[in-house]
Amino acid sequence: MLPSPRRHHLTSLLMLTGLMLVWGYGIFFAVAEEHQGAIYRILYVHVPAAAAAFIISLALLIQGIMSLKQPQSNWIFTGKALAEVGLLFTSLTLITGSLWGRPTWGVWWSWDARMTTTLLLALLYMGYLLLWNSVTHRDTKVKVCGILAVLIAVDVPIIYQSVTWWRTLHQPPSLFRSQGSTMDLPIQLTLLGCTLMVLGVAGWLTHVRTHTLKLKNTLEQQAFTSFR
Amino acid sequence: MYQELNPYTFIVLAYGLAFLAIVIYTAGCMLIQQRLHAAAERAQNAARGPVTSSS
Repeated sequence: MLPSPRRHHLTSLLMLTGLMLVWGYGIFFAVAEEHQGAIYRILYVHVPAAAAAFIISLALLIQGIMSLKQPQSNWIFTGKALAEVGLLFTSLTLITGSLWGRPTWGVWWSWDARMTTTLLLALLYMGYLLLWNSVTHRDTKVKVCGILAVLIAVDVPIIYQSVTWWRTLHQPPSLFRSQGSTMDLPIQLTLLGCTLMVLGVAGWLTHVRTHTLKLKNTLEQQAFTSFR
Repeated sequence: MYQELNPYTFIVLAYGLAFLAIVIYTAGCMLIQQRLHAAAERAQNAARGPVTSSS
C-alpha cells in the first residue's frame, strides 16, 4: 500500500506557514538598520536564498559522487530534485539582490564579479537540468551530471570570495570576517532564524521532489514491464 | 534617486516574489504527487483484477 500524500501536504503547509512567520517578522518587527534604512530588510530573503543555493551545490556534489559509486541507485533522482531547488533559490538570490540594488546602488544589475558568478551558478543549474532531461542512457547521465555537479561546487567558493578577490559593487562580507561581524546581534539572530527556515524549506522541497521522481520512475517501469 | 523610491515597494516585491515562487513550486510538487499516487493506486487495483461475488 502506498503512503498517503496527505502527510506531505500537511508538512508543506506547515513549512510555508513557518516561512511566512519568519519573513513576516523580518518585514514588520525586526529592528531598524541605521545606515540603509528599511531596504536592508531584503537581507532576510536574499541571504537565506543564497545560503540555500550554496548548500544545495554541496549536496549536489555529494549526490554526484554517490551516483558515480552506485549508478543504478535512486541517487540520480535526488540530483534532479537538488538542481531544480538550487535553480529556484539561485534565481531568488538574483531577483532579490536586484531589488535591493536598485534603491541602494541606483542600478538593477551590474556585471561585477559577485553578480556575474551568481548568474553563472543559475546557468550551471539550468545546464544540469537540460542534461538530466536530454541524456537517456543512465550511466552517461550519471557521468555528465556528475561533472556538472563538480563545476557547480567549484563556482560557489568563487562567488563567496569574489568580493574579497576583486573590487566589486557588492559589499564585502559583513558576517564572517576575521575582524568580527559588522552586524548587530538582533540582526544576526533574525538572519539566522530566516536562514534555518529557508534551509528547512529547501530540504523539504528536495525530499518531496525526489519522492515524486522515484514514484514516476516506478510507474514507468511497471507500465513498460506490463507492455512487454 | 534614492529619495524618490519608496523602499517598501522593493521590500514587498522581494518578499512577495520569493514567497510566491516557493508556493508555486510546492503546489506543483503536491499536484504531481497526487496525480502519481492516483495512477499508482489505479495500477494496483488493475493488477488485482475484477472484484467478483463468491456466491
